[in-house]
Amino acid sequence: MRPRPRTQSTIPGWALVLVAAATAIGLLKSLLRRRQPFGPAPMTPEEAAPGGSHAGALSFFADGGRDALEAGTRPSGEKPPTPGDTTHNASKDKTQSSAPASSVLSGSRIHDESCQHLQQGSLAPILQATLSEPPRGRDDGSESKHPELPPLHAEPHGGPATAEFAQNLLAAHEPAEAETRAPAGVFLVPASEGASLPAWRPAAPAVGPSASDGLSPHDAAAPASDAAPEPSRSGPAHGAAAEAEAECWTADVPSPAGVQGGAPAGEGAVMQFRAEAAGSAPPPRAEERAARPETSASAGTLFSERAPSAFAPVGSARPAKRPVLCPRETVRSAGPNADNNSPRRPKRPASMIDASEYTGPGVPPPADYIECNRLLSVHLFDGAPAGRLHLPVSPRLLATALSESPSSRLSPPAAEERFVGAVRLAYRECVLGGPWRLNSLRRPDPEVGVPLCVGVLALSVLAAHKMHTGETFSSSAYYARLAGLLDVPLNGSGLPEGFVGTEFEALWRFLARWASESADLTLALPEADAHRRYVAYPLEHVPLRQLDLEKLPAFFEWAGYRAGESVAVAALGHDLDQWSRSRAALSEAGREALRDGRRPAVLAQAAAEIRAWDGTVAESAGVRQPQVEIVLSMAMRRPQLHLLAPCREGYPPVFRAGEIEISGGPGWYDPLELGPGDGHLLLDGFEWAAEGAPGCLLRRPRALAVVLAPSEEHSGFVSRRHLPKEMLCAVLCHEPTAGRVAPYLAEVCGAAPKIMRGGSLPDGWLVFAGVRARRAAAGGAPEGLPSLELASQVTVSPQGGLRLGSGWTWMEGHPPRLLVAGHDGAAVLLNGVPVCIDGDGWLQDGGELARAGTWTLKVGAMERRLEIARPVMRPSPPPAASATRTVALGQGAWHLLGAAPFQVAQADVAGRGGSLARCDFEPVWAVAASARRGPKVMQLSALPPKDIPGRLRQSPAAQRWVAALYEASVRRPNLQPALGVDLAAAEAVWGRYVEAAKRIKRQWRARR
Amino acid sequence: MNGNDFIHWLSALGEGGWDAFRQGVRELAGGAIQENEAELLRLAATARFRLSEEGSVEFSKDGRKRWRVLPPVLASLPEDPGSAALCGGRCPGLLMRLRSAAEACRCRVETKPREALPDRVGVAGAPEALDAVAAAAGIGRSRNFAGEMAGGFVPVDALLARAPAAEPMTGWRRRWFDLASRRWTDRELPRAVCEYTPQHGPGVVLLPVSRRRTVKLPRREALYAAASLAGASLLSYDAASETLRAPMHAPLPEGCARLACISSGSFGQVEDGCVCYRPVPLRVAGLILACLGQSRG
Repeated sequence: MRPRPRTQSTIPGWALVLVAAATAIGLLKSLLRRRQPFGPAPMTPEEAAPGGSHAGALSFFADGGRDALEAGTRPSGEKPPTPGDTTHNASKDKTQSSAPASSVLSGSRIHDESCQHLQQGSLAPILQATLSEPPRGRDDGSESKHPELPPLHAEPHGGPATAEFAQNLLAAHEPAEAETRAPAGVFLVPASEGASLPAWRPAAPAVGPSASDGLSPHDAAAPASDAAPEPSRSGPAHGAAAEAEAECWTADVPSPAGVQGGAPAGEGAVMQFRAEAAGSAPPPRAEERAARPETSASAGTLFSERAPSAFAPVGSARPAKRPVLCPRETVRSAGPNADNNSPRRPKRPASMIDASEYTGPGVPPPADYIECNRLLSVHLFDGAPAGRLHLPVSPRLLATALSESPSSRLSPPAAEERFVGAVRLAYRECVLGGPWRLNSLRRPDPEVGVPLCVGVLALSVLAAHKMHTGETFSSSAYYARLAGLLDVPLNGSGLPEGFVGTEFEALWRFLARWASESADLTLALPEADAHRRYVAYPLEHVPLRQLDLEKLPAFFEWAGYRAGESVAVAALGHDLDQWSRSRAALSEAGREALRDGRRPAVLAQAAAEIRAWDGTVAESAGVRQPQVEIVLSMAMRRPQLHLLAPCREGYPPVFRAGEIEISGGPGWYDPLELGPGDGHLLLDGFEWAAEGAPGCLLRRPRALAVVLAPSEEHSGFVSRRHLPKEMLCAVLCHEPTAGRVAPYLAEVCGAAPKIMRGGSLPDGWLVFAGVRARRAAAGGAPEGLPSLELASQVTVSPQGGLRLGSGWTWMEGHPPRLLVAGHDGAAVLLNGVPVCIDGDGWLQDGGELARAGTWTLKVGAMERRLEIARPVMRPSPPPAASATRTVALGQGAWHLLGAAPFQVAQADVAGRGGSLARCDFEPVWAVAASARRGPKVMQLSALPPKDIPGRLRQSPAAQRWVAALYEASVRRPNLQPALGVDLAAAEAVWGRYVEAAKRIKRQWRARR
Repeated sequence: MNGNDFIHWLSALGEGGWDAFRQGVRELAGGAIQENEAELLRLAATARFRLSEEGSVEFSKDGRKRWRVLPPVLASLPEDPGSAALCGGRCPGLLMRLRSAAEACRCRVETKPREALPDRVGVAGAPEALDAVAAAAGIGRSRNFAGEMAGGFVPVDALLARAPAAEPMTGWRRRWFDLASRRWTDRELPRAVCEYTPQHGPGVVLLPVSRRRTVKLPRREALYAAASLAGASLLSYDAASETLRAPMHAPLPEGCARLACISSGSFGQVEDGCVCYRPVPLRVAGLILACLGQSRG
């Protein structure tokens, strides 16, 4: 595309006069026609309808249409009215010949025809009629959607104009006409705002260097257009366009290095804008504008948006719309139809981002955030495959990362709730709590050394994970989701409050640097020129969104993976390709991500999901059907089979289905023994629905042969989908099929396996024991027995050891034995040192793994980390302090009396064997309420009676206290002293209590 | 089996299921026991009851077979305020902190190794110094541990009152508890505790409290509830020797056993068909007897 000249061909002065005259006429017509003195004229339905006209599109966009668009209500095939439309460019072009009277635009709208021209992306129809020179379109003669724009500081156009030009302008509606007269970089404001807004203002809000905005003098001298005007997004829904715009705006907003006073840059810019607007600051002079760098000036274009609420007229129910100037990049990146050929505003290169550790002041994050940050970091860093660090955060991953032990696993929603709550609190305290903002997290945790920003960045990825079309947001609305997760409002720039793009980018860069230097990992980062610069960071880590991730369990089951398994990336990619092709289950976006350069990220995400998978496959109807496994154990040298049912979140503690009743806790139900008569359960499969718990099912598919292999979680051999290589396992087989299975196993093992029958095995079933598959059979697995196919990937199964938590962490001195299968002679390295694998597949580590530390096991391309750690007490809530006192009493009615004359409690012990009584004071006496002589009085402590100054109120409690003592004393009580107190001392104390009771009684009598 | 490693591991996990508990025992048992399921089960059961009785781990009673490590506490009794036992979970770091705090407060830490169990850790010193040690080590402190524990006890009469009604099972294996012989028997007994065992899964224990009402109770509590209703005596206490005796087939409910163990400083010993706890202070014995409806005077 040929660059457009910086200034249009000269328009003679008389043409300008004509234009001014036309403007004046237009103004008069506008005033005459105006129905509403303030605000925009009402739209006709045609105008309001999307696609009806450009004016309609603009109105639609400005007056709530944006929300509708974001909600996905745009008619199919309609081009979204992105700010990238050349309307803005055209308008801006026209603004070069300006009349500085934007108040004339009040309440006016753009004429359809004019808009159509504008929408086509060119001023050609108008300019052809008015200018002596043809429009600068594309060389090929097609209309340029985004013609090169003159810089905003360019002088107004000059050059010949014709009467036709004026005719065209007159024919056009006033708004378009007026827009053509707006000076470069003008915010066009409705008349309703005229009272409070300047009649016109420069494109740049002119964020100057001030102490309050935290900008350095150098930053403050940045292009005026870099400072953010206030696009004013009110309402919950914000579209991608708005966010792209916000991103664009903040992309070049300089960030204070370190802690500086004042509001965030974006905020500062907004505040400055408001102050300026309120003060009706004069526009900069032409020479001042001309002195600005070109990059700033070339960024302007028209953009329709709502007026800031602060400027809305009192009583106005709907904010007025106004076209404003937006940076060029905003327009370009606003939508998929935006032209990428337009010049881009230079961005701050990533190399300029401060990725160093922040050493200034800040608020330490709350303990729960630090805990979450630590757990998540350990999970992510440990599970990083092949030196690449991804943060594929999803609720399922959070559940795995934040669960301390497999047995006490959090559910994904609960884990997400805990994590989001922790980050919210940290964001509130650390980011919003001071001027350091996000910088305060750009440093390592002082205790464990992992970066403090992992949690916040993980949350940003979680926001990206949730990007799919929903009821509230469009699929590409990122910041609104992030703000929702952080529980903060969006600021005027459409960003979450306290969020500064450059600081966010700095956090990513800091994490990348830390991961590279401390963990030898390469953090996945977007390309330098990524679309939507800041959103690209989290998006890089979630190539598969929620929609596709929810389908992955079905894939895992299809591929025969086990929950929590570590699968080699190559095998995973192969399987995922196959599944994606055969089932077409992934969304188009997911399939594309699997094909293009994001493939490593997709595989990393899928691998992380397998690790976090709990084995549940959700059916489309929302019914969850975890599969029941089979466990083979040996009891008295006889094979014994059990069913092992997973107990998932929401499942009842006791699962009842007909005669079946199994109990257990989170994780697994107790094993259910299979007897000789249970063969049909294996052969036909089963599906049990829990009684009283709709949607909770347990199932086991029908099978003729079941592979049983060592498991990470359970002793004995647990059922598997495929036959692992080089691993000692067993095959449970239906006897009629054994004739086909035996020769196959003999072939893959190189020897005939041992057959076991009897014991408590189900009738009609036998076990092939000692199966160790060494090579694939020439003809593959017997027909109809796919489970006997050899597993292709390398697997490492830790056996035994004292495992800490759900990750690959074991207690010092009690490491696991590692069983490596499928290595096919590949080199096995433990922390880079070659180690051997014995004939049974066990790793020979020479006792090294018993020592505390992080160990990396590499088998071919597969890499696995495990940590050996010293045990640390898991914090538990302290027992609730209770003031209740417990006393053992024999049968009968008792009064428990305290030292104060109102401390009394009654206890009736019916049983002959006595019971316990409780009171909320320190009991001194237990007095049997007996009418007989010699009632039993037990001294429980030696506390003297408490003197109550003044007269005691005759409350019911006091009356009972006094009466109990008095009546017991007159019946010659049988006194039992307290432990360690002799009888005389007890009688002396009793006497004092009786005396106190009599004194109180006398007081009350005297009062009467 | 290294009991210290076991409690350290349990403390690091915080809570879990029976399967994990048994896996831990298997891992630590080593040698031939790992291959002997019966022996392993016996070892796991012993560890389960021992850890519960010494107040380190609590096991759920709702059939879910869950366990939870209790928070560490330095527990004393009013009868001996100058000594305290470490109850609850522990880890090497905590023990180190406890030792250094005791040294700073001029207290003495006594560690008594026990086979297949965590060391018994006691601290001797002035009550105020013990308070300071607990605070410095960051653990709880109780001067009247028995009283606090008893605060959580539910007496059998209250248990009976709130026990859910249940119908006798048909087709399940049954056995009854004979209060006279203090044994379980297959001979049907009227108004006796009856244990029903299904083919798979845990059994239930029912107690007929009247002609029309049968209630479901935990097994041990059911035995004492039945004894309380019948006015039979299962427990005995000898004040002179401070010995509390419970029939071997009617062991103390878990909370009471824990209180007896902690107050006596040792586990119960089987003597003449009874589990004997000694020395149990009179006040503590009174609480246990009253809780189980076995107080006679």
